[in-house]
This record gives sequence, C-alpha cells and structure tokens, in this order.
Amino acid sequence: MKVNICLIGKGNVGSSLLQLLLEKKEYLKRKFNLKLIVCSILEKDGALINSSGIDLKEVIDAKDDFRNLPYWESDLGLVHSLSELEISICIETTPTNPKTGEPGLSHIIQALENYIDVVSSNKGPFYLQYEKIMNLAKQNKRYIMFEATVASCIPALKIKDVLVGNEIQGIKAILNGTSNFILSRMTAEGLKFSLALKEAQELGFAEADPTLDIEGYDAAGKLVILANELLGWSKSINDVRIEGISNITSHAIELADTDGYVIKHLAIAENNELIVEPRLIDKHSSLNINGNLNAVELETKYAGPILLMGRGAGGFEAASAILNDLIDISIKRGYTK
Amino acid sequence: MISLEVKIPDTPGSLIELIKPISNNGGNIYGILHFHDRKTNNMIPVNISFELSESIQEVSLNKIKNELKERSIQIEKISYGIEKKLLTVLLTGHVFDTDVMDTIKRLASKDISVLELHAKFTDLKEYSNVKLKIEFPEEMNKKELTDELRKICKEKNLLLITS
Repeated sequence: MKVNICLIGKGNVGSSLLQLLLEKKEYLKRKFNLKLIVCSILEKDGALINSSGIDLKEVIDAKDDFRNLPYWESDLGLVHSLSELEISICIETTPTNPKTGEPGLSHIIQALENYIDVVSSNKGPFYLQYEKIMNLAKQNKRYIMFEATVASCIPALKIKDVLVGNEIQGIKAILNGTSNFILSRMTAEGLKFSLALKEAQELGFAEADPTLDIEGYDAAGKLVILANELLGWSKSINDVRIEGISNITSHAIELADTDGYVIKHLAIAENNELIVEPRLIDKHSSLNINGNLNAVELETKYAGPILLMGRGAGGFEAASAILNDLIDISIKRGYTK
Repeated sequence: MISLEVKIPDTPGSLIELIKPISNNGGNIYGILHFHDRKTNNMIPVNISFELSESIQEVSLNKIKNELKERSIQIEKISYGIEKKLLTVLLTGHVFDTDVMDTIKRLASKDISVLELHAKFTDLKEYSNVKLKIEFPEEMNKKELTDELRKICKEKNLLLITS
C-alpha cells in the first residue's frame, strides 16, 4: 500500500533516512507490501514538494544543493504540506533547542492536531512536554513513536513491548557517547579531562561546544524519556538531579582503580528519582563499556538485570530506528495488508 | 540482627531444640557460640545470632520466645545488635582547604565513621582527590548517607562520587 510521508529536517539523520528509504525500497515492498512515498522534505526556509513522490536519488545526489531542484519552494511551511499532500506519517528530525523543544515541539503538535501519526528523533519535545504530547496523541487517536530519541538504534523503548509479561523496576544507563568516550580515555591512558575532550572533538565524537554532553543534560533528557516510557512516570528534565563530568580528574580515576572501581557517567531511574552523575562502578560491571557506546540496564522483577548495548548516535543508526517506527505504525494502521 | 543468650542442657539434641523455633519462624541464623567453659549444672550458655525481616520481626520474635519457653529453654538476654555497612566515596575539590577534619567530625556526629582516607594531589592550588571508606549504621540507608554527604559537599563545593 502507498503511504504518503513528510520529512521535517534534512540534516544528518534526515539525509540518512532518505538514503535508507531508497536502499530498502524493494525490501519494504516485498516484505510488507509497503510503499513509503516522501511527498515533502521541509527545511526552515522552504520545502521540496511533490505530491506524487520526490525522487530520493535526485535529492541525495544534490547533497547540499537540494534547494536548486525544480520542486523546491521557498517559505513553504509544515501547514501547507499537512493540508495539501494527504500525509499519513510525519517524521520530525530537526535539531533540538534544549530549553524550548522548538521547532520540533510545534511541528509534532501541529501534526497530531491534524490527525497525522508522528515519528521523531528529536528528544527535546519529549523531555520537556511528554505528557502534553502523549495526551494529544491519545485524544486524536494518533500514533507517536520516538525510538531514535534514546540511544539511537538500540531498542531501549521498544523493549517494553517484549517485556509485557515482566515488570521493569529501575534503569541504570550510559546514554551519552561523548562523556563515555572521555572517561574511557582518561581511564585507559591516564589522560587529563581537557586532553580527552580534545581527542573526542578531533575524532568527531564531541561538538565544538560539548556542554550539553559533558554536563549531563543530553543524558538527562534521554533518561526522562526512558523513565516515562518504561516505568510509566510523568517527569520532565527539571526533575533530574544532574552532575557533569568536567571536574573529574585523572587522580580520582586512579584512586577509584585501587579499589577495583571505574568512574562512569550514569543515568539512573530508581525509587521515583532521576539522577545523572558520575558514579563508581565495579570494573567487572556489565555497564563498564568503553568508547562512545551506550548501554541500558533494566532491572526487571522476574528476570533480574537485562542489558542492551550498542552505538547510541549516528545518522544511519537513528535512521534505522525511525524506519522501524515507520514500519511499526504501518503495520498497526493496516497499511501493510 | 538479634542475639539471644540462652542456657541449654549439655545433652544430644538440645541444640536442635534451640534452632527449630528460630528457623521455623523465619529466622536467618548467622552464628552460634557455645561456652563449654562456663558449664554449670550440666547447662551450657549459648549465644545465637539471627536476622528476622522487619515486617515479621515483632510477631516472629514473640513466637520464638513462646516456643523456646515450651521447650524449657530459658532466655537470659535478648539484644538487638547493630551491623555497620560500608561505602566507598570520592571527593574532588579543595578537600583539605575546606577542613577535611570538620567533614569527618560532622559525619561522626551522625554515627558515620571514616575508616580509611586516601588522598592524591599535585599542588595546593589544584583540586585534591580523596577516597573515603565509610562505615554507617544498619538503620541508616544508603540514600540517607549520601544525602548527608551531599549536603556537606554542596556547602564546601566538592564533587561527590559514590559507589
């Protein structure tokens, strides 16, 4: 079945998704009888619009020059796409303003208000206005899926669907690859924090301004989403006690080592509390993962700890999580029949 | 932890008679001490330590006392021992300049003991790093302990890293 979709944000994740949709086109048709038609690709200054489907290869080949394509229309916003193009699923991948959740928050609300299902990789709206978004989706009987917001392709949110017979009671996680990379390098090589950060920036694992990562705000946002989804809480980022890693010294790491500990930047949800802070963990702990990996350990009532681990960032990693959500919604809506 | 001091006859099977009421009523036995050197009138003093979960403690202890009485085992003394718990923490900041002895004394005033202190620092102007091994009472939970530590660290602008 043909399903019209629109993509908001043609950054790294958005572009990777277009590539993935092109690569998976035949597979989706064969396996799910599903034809995902991208009718609009919105950017902040306009949109690529084609009601019968945009040629994805043409857009991918154009790279940053996509605004020169004949079907680019300046100053066209989301409202036009939603009202004119019979969109069934809207994909939101714009960068997050960590204080307001905009512009993603408005996009998601607009889509839901127009009775359109939403897939998002944009975490800001969810750690700031989770309840509002979920209530609107419920009220308008829309699906909203956002697996890519937490640990990218690791199925940290979807796992609740396969643990329905169990009960998740707590979460301990490493949710920021940058801070984990820095601490791993400090531990392995005895590097100072500033040197490890510089190395992370040179390798592309840290932003030029790494504040959100090293001070714990990025992990805190993801933790809120995890706790709300898996534990049924209704928290926002303002409920998280946050401590960063910028004051960790190589001496502190050496002292920890003499007792068999390593220092990790943990995100913890337990006893109705949300915490992101450096913690001492046993060297042999399953959470002692190195490099820029993410890990999520769920404490379950009937099976003890369950560990998920993998790459928590990257364009194709997030795009694959978005595609999972698109397929999931398509199955639930009966588009695959 | 509950500790019972009793006297039992120095005859085969007496110890089983002491253990049964405790294990039958949910007691988790930690240790038994016989004092053969203090035997009088063929009665041996025995000290038995066990734990009962908090929710059943009062009811179970009463049952244990009654069942021991039915078996003619006389309880000399009951004591509720305090078991200490341990935690390792790191403090980073101007730990010495902000009076580390004051930090230790303030913890001691809450029955929290610093058993070991290890320090690493390069320069008096730089941050120092201190590892503390802390013992805290059984009735105090880890959160209460870390809340107390956090309060002091916030006041002294120290980074606290707990295990």
